[in-house]
Amino acid sequence: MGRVIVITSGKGGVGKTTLTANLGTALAHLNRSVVVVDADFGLRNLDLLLGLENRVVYTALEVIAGECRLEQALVKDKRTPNLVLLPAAQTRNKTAINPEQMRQLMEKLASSHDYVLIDCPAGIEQGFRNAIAGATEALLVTTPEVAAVRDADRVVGLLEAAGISSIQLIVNRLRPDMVTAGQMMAVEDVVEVLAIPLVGMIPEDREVIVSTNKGEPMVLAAHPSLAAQAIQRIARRLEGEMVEFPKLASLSESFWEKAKRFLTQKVF
Amino acid sequence: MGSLAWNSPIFPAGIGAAKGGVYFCSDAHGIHLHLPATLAWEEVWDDLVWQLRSRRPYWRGIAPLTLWCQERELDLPTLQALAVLLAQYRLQLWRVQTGSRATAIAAATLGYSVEQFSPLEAAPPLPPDTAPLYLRSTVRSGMSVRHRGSVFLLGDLNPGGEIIAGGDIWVWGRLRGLVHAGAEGDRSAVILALQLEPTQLRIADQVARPPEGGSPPNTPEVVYLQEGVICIVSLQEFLRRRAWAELSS
Repeated sequence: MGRVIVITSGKGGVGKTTLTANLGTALAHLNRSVVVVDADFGLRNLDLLLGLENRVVYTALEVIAGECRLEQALVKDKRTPNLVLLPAAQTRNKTAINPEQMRQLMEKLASSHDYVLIDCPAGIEQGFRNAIAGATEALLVTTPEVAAVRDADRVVGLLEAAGISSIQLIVNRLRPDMVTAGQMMAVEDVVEVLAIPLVGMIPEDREVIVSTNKGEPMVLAAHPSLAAQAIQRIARRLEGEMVEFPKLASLSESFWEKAKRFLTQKVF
Repeated sequence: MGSLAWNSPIFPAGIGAAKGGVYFCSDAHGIHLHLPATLAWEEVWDDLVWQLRSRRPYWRGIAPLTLWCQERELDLPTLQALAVLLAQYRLQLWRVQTGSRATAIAAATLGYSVEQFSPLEAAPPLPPDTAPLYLRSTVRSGMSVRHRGSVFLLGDLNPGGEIIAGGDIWVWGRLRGLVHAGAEGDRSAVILALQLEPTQLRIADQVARPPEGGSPPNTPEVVYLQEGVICIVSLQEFLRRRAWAELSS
């Protein structure tokens, strides 16, 4: 049986979908079979970030309705052989599916894959309930902002009530320069409030916007950026490897590092 | 929340995530679990799980439990799931008090002792449970602990969370949310926290915000009401003042 992990946050726009796409890709590159599940019915994005939008034929809804087999709905990613996507329906809304159906679907996926990563919609309503129904673990994504941390705290409570006891924290969009200047919450402050173990911290990165627009996960880059490297470290930590957290300062690139990466990059 | 009537004679039942939440109390017949009739089942469940988790360190042995579910309809699988959950926390469901026929049938099918009262009959009044409530947990954003007696929390109260108590409130951890001690009008109630960084403090009918700016001292502090004004002092100072007050009286 594979691990079923829901990636959730409460607040929107903190990077759940980007993280799901990249973490899925990174895990697949560690030779794990991975399925990423878009649980954001009605507002699906995961297929876009993976650049698989035009290959979606069936969605989770058709699988549940028995209109196709599960294997037919899984979209393969050519660049990453071990990765498949189970898309959500864009035309329906979050009430089109219920938690029990979701649980059964996740169970089926877990029986044939090492990792099932569920991209949870923002909010704590029905869509959230569906997304966490089949999960046994959770990755909680937050940015170092008061509002995001507050929402994340609420979500921890809901996850615990739902019986998901393994909850790990990812602090996203960290800006080391601002933390040093005391203008941004430090990772330690976030961990102290939420009281759950930290599994990753990802610096703010312009590369994210470029890669999402291209539909190409940034961990695939020949010279991965700092954010991409941070996600690769999270993948290794999920695999049980002890990977040390880098010092805060090393999460921001110096001018020379930037220049070097720019020069070695493919020009498109 | 915000819809609480502070001077209402009936305090909202027990503690819960929302108005009239899940409520435990105990007497010679064992433990009683009251489920609110109106709250969505998911919320009831979440609230129940949290309470069971955070009160677990203080349950002793296997105790028989009476379930009071008013007019709420519980079907067979739901009731079964509830019994399994309770059993995990060493509580054994043995009796169901209900005003709903469907629930009574489900409970009887599962072999529990059933007492059905007609919906017209007034449900028996809740016993006023003023025994202290002990919790070991983090009270997170969106959670609300309500209790008629004093509340002792071993853990943090995070911003966005709240504790409302008829008596004192002790937070053995960081107090960052909202607390209301003496919520039924007890002006002698106190609030104690190892680290006091509250969103808002209330004692009886008084409200105070923490002073802006400046970091709080790294020492336990006590909040109390003196001549209608909310005061905050270090624990040491509080004890010294108490001693003085006793000497001079």
